[in-house]
Amino acid sequence: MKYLVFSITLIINAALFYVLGTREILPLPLGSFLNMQEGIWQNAEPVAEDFNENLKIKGIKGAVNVYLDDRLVPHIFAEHETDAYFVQGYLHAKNRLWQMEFQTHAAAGRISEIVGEKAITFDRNQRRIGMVYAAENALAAMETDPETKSSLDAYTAGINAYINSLQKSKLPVEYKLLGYEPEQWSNFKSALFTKQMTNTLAGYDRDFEMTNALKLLGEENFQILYGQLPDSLYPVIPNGTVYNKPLAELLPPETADSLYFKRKDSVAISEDFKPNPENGSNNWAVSGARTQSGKPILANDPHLGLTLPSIWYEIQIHTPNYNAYGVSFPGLPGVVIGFNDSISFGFTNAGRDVKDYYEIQFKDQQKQQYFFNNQWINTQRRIEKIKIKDAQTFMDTVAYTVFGPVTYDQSFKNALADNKAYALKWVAHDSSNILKMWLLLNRARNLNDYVEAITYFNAPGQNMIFASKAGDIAIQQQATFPLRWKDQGLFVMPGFDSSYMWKGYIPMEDNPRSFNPVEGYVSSANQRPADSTYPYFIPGSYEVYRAITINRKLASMYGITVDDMKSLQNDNYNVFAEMARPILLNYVNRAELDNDQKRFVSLIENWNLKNDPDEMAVVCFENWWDSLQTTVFKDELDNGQNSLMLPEKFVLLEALRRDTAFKFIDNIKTPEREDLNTQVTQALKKASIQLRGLQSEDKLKWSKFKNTTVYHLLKNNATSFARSGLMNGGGKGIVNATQHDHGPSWRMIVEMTTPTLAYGIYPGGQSGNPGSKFYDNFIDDWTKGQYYKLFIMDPVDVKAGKFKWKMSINPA
Amino acid sequence: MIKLSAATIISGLLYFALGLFLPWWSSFIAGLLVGLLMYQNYLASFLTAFIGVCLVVCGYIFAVSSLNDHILAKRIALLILKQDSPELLIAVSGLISAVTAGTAAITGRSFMLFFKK
Repeated sequence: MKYLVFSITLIINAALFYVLGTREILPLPLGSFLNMQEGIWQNAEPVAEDFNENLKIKGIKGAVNVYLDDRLVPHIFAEHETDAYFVQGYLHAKNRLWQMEFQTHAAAGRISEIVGEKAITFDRNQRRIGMVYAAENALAAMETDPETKSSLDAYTAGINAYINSLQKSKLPVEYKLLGYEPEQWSNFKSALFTKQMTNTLAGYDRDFEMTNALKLLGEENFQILYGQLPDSLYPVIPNGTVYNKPLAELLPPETADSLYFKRKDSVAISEDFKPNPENGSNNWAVSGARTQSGKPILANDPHLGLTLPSIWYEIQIHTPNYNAYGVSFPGLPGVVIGFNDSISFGFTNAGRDVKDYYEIQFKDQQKQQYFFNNQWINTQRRIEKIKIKDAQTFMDTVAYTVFGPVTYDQSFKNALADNKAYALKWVAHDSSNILKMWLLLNRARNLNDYVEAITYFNAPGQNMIFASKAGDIAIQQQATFPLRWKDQGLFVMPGFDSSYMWKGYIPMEDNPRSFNPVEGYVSSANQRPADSTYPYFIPGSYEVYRAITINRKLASMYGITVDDMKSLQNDNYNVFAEMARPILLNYVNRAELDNDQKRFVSLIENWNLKNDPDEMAVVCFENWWDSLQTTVFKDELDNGQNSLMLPEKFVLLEALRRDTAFKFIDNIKTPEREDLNTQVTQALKKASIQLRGLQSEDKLKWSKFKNTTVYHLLKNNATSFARSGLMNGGGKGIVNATQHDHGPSWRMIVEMTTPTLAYGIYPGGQSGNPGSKFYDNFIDDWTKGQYYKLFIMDPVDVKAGKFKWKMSINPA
Repeated sequence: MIKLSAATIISGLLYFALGLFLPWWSSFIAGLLVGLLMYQNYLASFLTAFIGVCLVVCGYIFAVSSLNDHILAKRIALLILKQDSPELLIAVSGLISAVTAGTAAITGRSFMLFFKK
């Protein structure tokens, strides 16, 4: 009996040990994951946590005090600048370690190490667009500059000081969920982070789709559907500005007509990991002549994917040289969007096309030689070793050409005929020290300092806005942008002829800019930076409508207060619908409609044109217009196989406003000739199928339909770490650009009075720990359009004890 | 009864103490030691280890989670149990340690019987 009991229980114990200790049977090793002393319970931070600390750490030169306010915003007071960056690194790691490492793993194409084979295509894509190569080039430039290097070294040391002090039981929850541990941080990881941001903001491209569209439609129709100069354009630099003439006029190569504009074949490539083209922002600055206080006000709200932990971490850095406040990127030292005691600064995305594909002819499948300028040239081959969790390391050979890495070839992702492949030319690969710009901006004192600081920035192109206590306001679209002949880079270019290469870069002094304009304000909202008289060819992915609302409002505003700016950032007015609604209402055949359809029309008719959370007309309008777009264009764009994309929304609207007999209205696949009435009515009938369904599910209200959600970085693998069902208004093309999971990731308004008055909020919280009350505590206020008054702490506040917790950090 | 209570308390304390130094499988060790050292029948061995460890784990976790307003427990319960129930997550956490301790206690007890004449 005893032997039997022993044997049975021993087997049970072994089975339990195995089942509870591995991910082979259950998705999680529940034994450790739910263990009270090493599992997730160690991450359950008491809501009354005491954040006071006395630390002795090796690597800092002097004492540093960090005062934490009631929102857990750190106010770092350091005698040495590098100590401030050290402590910033320590705090970033303390609050956001998993996020920092995950994002840089993603940048480097290392997600397969964490989640296994399902991420291999993503990782290969990252390697093949040259993210690691780009980061290596960036790091070399950053480490050449002594100041940048010492700042980065200190920041990295601070992160590692935290990592080295971290007990396994206190690892962030996500490490426990995914089953791995953090590695040491390095300056290279910060470089990778800059490239991740560059990819997010300057990695969108549509060369393949446009190549196929040109082939399908021919040049004339292509220009109608994919032209880039909307009638309603309100550029960053106002219409009518006089620009310098370029030094030389660029002409296309002589072979362009046959080899470029009239290429014979389409391209069977579909890109899976395009950045969201909606990544953008609003910013504006108004001069003292337009404000109640007589001092400039600057506002900025960057629109990015809404994530938990947030991309942003709020911080104040106080050193003998400067006193900067704003949001920082966990992964980089310094303040990224913010202000100091003299100036304020912010950014919106330029959206310029800085990424082109060249068609390469390899000699054979070995990819060792390619044809260029009438001879076979050797490639440089880079072996990318992609480690995979629970599987063998994947070796990917990436050939590098005179343009850059060959992203697509026989091995990835599509089998291409005749040894053809596509090499990538991208400004992100260029060597540059963009971190230097932020280090200089943080301590800039005036317009000249701002102008000097931004010259260090090469990518991603940004509209850099500025306001100062001295009364200056300014905006400049800044980066290095390729110098192109007209239409160069819209389509895939021949890669065997050097005459198709970029002709250098547009001189920086010709970048669009506006300093202290007579209008008394400057603004940008991802629109085209300049009108058609700008003397360079500047393709891109541009927004049209937010800029119209912003400019209309700013032009009419005087005696502006911070509250006015808050209202503008939260403005839900739909200027696109203002222009498009008359077309829908005037051309729908009402006699053909059933009662439901008549109700949808009536809702739109009585709409105040605001995308407010409870508004039902928005859903009806959006669905109807989208349906009209599909009805009008699907027949012409149905090529059966290769990648294409619908024209931008403004194209159909402006075409119909110009001409209601627009040539694409007719469905070429039917014998009848459809007119606008027919198509508008058809579009409503098609849309009403979905609208009826939404109505029956009580999802016709805009906020319910949109379901604004701030996802965790693990997206659908951690939905309980997300916040969904948020009742936000706004949307695409609206100043309040809140879409389903994308939108204002930080709203900031700074009034350049003395003392500075600043307000801000982001949809998240300072802690990255889902077990902390500081994980998502800003979200409800953000949803309501509220702001926090930013506490710009000074030594008097320190003496007065105006803080909640204090971390004293001294050299060990 | 006193012996049962003592075994229960010792199981719980032993588990807590071992857990300070050993990974999650310290529950096996605690159960095994109680089975080896405390002379009881199989059922009593299992129950004392099970209850002792369960009380310690559930008590500790409940306290930790309460101080946290169950913020994390709610999120993890939804994630892995698909239930908005911190209590259920606490119970599952307690059961895992308790069952492993209990079965290990029987193993320990039966092993001791090898040496009993």
